[in-house]
Amino acid sequence: MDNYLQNLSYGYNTLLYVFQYLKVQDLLRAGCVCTMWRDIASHPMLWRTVRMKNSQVHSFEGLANTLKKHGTRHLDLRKMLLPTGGDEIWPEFSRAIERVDMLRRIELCRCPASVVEKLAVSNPQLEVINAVTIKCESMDLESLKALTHIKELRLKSTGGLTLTSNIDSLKDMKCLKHLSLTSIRDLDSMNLNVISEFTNLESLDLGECTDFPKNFGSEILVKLDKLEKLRLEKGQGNCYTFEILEAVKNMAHLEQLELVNFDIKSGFDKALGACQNIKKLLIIPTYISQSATTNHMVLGGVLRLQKTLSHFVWGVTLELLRVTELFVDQCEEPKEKKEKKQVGNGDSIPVLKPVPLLKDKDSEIAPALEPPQVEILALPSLQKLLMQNLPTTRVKILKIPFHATWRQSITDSVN
Amino acid sequence: MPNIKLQSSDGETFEVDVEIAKCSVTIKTMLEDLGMDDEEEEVVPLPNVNSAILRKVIQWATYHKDDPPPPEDDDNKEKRTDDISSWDADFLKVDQGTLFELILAANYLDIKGLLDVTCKTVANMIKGKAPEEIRKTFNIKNDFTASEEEQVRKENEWCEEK
Repeated sequence: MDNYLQNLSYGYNTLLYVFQYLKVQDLLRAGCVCTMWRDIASHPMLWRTVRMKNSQVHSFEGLANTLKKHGTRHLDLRKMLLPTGGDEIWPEFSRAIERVDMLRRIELCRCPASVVEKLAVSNPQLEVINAVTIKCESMDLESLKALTHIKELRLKSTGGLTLTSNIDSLKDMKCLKHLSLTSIRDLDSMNLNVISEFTNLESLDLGECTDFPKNFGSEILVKLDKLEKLRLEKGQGNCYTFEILEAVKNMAHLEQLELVNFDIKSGFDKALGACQNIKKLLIIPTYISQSATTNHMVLGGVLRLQKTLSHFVWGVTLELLRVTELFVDQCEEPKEKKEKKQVGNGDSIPVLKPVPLLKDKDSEIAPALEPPQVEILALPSLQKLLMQNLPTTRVKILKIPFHATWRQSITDSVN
Repeated sequence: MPNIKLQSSDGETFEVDVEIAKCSVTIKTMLEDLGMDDEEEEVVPLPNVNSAILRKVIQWATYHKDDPPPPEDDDNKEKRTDDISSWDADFLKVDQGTLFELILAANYLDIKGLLDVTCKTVANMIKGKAPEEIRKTFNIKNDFTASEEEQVRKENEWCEEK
């Protein structure tokens, strides 16, 4: 009996430790086993974060009661199972969640925009809202004005979002450290100047950047001097990409840049190469036309960052690989068909000749030949070339269908 | 590699490589605090662990001696129980008494890797079971009064796993 109390204490801690591995449903059932299990299963540590993945809620009243009782700070509804059919559950959710005033952080599952709008009004104490699977076409940011404590806000719709109010509604969010507004249609027509006031921002994701104005780089981005991570999606049309890169290179804390579905124009290589502050880079170019030039520019730019890049992810679309394969097939003489497998296997991209290379340490990267000639470069060769020229960089080439480009990020790709 | 001697509660001594024994933070601290050096024939007494369990713990520690240190607990990550290696799963095919003694030993000796994997194993014995099945599995007496039981049942029935 010498160790009775010590063993009792180990037993208590063990059960608590075991319960950390239980999902909500299991924890609820464990609480019904006996009085000791009920008490241990009520430990606040086990309820700080509640995740509803793969679970279905019958009663949001019951959920709210439990969250309130245990002082839950973080509710994660991602991948929660929803009843088939309608959105009839959401009014009950909105009524119930209002009472959970300890909640500071929420991740929403696929839901209508109105759920986010109501949540902002009913739970103004929230510090983090992640709603990246909104299923509406339009949203009103006006109600988000209530969120004066918000530090992290991420909004994205699965099918593209039209904002019915200007983003001025966000201007009082003085504590914002992370802002992500993507899949927003005609974002260029909004008053982007508001963004320059979020001087505490550490990460910023914006999309769609089509036709982004000239002053976005020179007057807005440059003010965000704490920014560490920048992600821009869909930079097409008249998006002033060079002005953006001009701003990027002077941002002292900026280390991570993601350009997703960006038009890569001639001169991009030098502009990107000047961004010696960037350590982690993801580029997924738009491959609509001039793909050989695009690839030449990307490669030339990245090689200029040889000394500074720690991570580089290059997204190549399956559509480009297919078009390249067709192109190679057409060029080949019928009698050479036997050798076809070598290049035309859907695993190559076109690059303008000469393929950029760093032969010596300080050699200049040769410009493309005139008239332009295209080299078909197999991805394994490209990978090898990159690894030889960027020996201290972790390089990854992604092969993805266009529709999946939006989901790619550096964190997912390198971990 | 120098060896040290560990003595179980029932008096048996085990000679173990020092580096293997040091996966126990308790033993590591003891060696450092007491400045036990390798020359002396010191015996480390472990009054809370019997020989059968100590033998298992040493077997586990020997197999895992080259493992990287277990990652720090991250509250932002969901804790998984489906990542038990097949060697560990075989090693833990033991009766419940032994399993819980291993947990107590892992607690006392402060071996995080062993504590993690044994607790995951217990968690897997709980998962997916109804309260009555859990009681049967662990031989637990239902000590709720009827009204208490009704109350916890009511409070806890808002959610269902698919």
